[in-house]
Amino acid sequence: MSEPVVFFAGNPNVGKSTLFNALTGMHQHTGNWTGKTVEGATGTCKWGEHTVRIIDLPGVYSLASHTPEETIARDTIAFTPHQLVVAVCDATCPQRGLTLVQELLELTPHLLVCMNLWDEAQRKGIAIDREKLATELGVPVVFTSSKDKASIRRLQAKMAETITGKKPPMPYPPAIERELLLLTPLIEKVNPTGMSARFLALRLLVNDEDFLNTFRLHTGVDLTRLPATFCSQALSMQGWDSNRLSSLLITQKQRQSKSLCQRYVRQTPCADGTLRADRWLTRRSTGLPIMLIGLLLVLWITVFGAQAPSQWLWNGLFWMEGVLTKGLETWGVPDFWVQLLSQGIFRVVAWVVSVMLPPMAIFFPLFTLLEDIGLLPRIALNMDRTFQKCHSCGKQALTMCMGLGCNAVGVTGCRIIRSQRERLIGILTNSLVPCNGRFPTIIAMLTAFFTVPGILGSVITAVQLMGIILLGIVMTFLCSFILSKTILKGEDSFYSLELPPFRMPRIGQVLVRSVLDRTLFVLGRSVAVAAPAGLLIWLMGHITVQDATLLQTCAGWLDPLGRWMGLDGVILLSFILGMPANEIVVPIMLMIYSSTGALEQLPSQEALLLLLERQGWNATTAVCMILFMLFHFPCATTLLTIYHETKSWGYTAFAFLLPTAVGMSLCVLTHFILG
Amino acid sequence: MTLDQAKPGKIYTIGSITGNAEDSRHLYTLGFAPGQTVTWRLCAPSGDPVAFMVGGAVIALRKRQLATIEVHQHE
Repeated sequence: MSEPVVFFAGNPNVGKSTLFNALTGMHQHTGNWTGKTVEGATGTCKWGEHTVRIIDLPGVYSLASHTPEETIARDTIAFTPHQLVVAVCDATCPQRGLTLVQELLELTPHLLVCMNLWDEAQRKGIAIDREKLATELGVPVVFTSSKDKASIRRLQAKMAETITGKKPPMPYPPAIERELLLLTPLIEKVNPTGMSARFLALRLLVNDEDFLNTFRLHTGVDLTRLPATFCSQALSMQGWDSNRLSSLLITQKQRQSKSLCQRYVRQTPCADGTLRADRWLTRRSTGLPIMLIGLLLVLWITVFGAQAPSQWLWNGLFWMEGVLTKGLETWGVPDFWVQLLSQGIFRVVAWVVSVMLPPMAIFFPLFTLLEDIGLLPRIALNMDRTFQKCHSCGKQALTMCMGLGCNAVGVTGCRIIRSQRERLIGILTNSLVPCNGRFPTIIAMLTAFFTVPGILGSVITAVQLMGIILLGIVMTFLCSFILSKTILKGEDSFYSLELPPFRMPRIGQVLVRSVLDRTLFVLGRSVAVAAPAGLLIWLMGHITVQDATLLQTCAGWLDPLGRWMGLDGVILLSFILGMPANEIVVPIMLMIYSSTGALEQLPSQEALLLLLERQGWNATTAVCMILFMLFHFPCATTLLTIYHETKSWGYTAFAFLLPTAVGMSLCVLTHFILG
Repeated sequence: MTLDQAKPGKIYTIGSITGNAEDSRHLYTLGFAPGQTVTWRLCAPSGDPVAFMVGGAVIALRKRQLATIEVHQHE
């Protein structure tokens, strides 16, 4: 409570989160696209004896346009007592940042301007007169770049100095200043906060109902009660109605920052690599092929790169199983338990680790690298026409990409979509894109049933996998279209997309973070969930009711439905028991199957194929399995996230039913056609 | 003319914005405000959305929005 509070504010995608991570040692996920930070993150930073609380706000262009992010950023700064706001600007295009700086100056006197991405700006031939800019703004200016540790220390030192700006903010035309002069003393009398009276007076003059309401709720003071109407009327008479006034508040700051840039920023022109790359990526003849080939390449690296490590892990774990079995036998553990532990549980866990881990550990970092370079906004641009036809928001392309990593993250990411209707479409259709936890299963099915050994085989698998992802994307469009024509009827709302310059990815950081934070997390979760699931399955397999085990009974109930869908009762039961996490569906299925016969000690894919064929699987079963893996109810985490985001059990149920219905119909259809 | 008819590579000065108040405010904060200059930068393969260089950043907008922005072309 007593520790000083520092806010990080700034335009979207200027590296706030990266700076925040550098200062606090936290690992907030960063990426090169607008809207990455949807929720403010909090961290602490120690300077000598002092601990400072740092809050990373969502990126905003302005504090005036009432998007959810802007409201959060503005209200947090306005209503939280703070010692400093660090305005993080993009040094490669300082003009935008400086516009926000001026708005912040109106809101708080405790400001520090941080020109980030300074290394990039220098490469682009940009020079900024720091001293003069700081003097004119009346607040300190620091240059930083997250790769340059010294600059981070400079920022820290400057923050610690915490100089309060004493220079009055930029003046408005005399007519407005006159009314402000009348209003500010009135406000100062009733204002219980440390907030700038000038800022509050301006809110009153532009009649910002939304903010005035929030102010009343926070402080109990109703500013609209003040005799401010006279001032507004006087301004109206002189042609400054509230609409024109609110435009002025924005445009004057833009003009001012443009002029600041003209005076203090010099740019020597140099080659623009981003533009050249963008031309290739968006040209009609090359854009789509490049994107498809890129996707194929990523998938192929995942499939091919996973083969060898997968085999090493499998062999290594089998060797460990031998040691385990011997150890248990020498300790005198009964045979039955040795069998259960080593061939039952251990072998399935070994299969999970060796088959699931490598593709996840390869795909996720690759995907994060592309994100870091700045490719996602280009994908969103190229796909936008289709989203327009579906009357949905183009930002859905970004949330779909996030869904490829994890659907729960994709659902949370839908907050970047402003319109409630379009946000719901994004949330309800997100799990139609397969997440990272579902890839390994699909890859395992493809390699076991539909490919040849060697490099050619991995190419075939990658092509098939791409087809499956594209099917997921097509289905997302189809469902979005149907939703926006039926229960979520409406037109597409305002949409803008920023195309940031391409950046060199921070390869080391991406690798470490995505392997440690994501892959090990997912793997840990699947092992943690798979072990109790193993116990449950073992119990269900041994509790007998009327001459049949519980497992047989449940699978028996589900069997007719399963058969109808080209699957069987055990598979459906695994999907249901696997609700906590998609990556444990196959392990559960294997555990149930292996209660009648363990996984053989063959290469992992052949072992899988043999076990499945013994259970009556054929190619059609595998196709239906892949389809149902692609389209079925979201995992429990995602469902909870959907409830959290929509606050409606109705929509949560719908999000459960939609992909399930799609999957079931496709499975029945496939089974009917392939026989 | 309006910005949805912009030609590749050309520079435009924004005159006025005719859309509803909320959308206009968004355009203002993105830098599409009266008096500002914007440069055609690139467009999606389908020709929509179109991205402009504005205030140092590249922002793409759908044609429906661009049609609300009155502009003059620079010679």
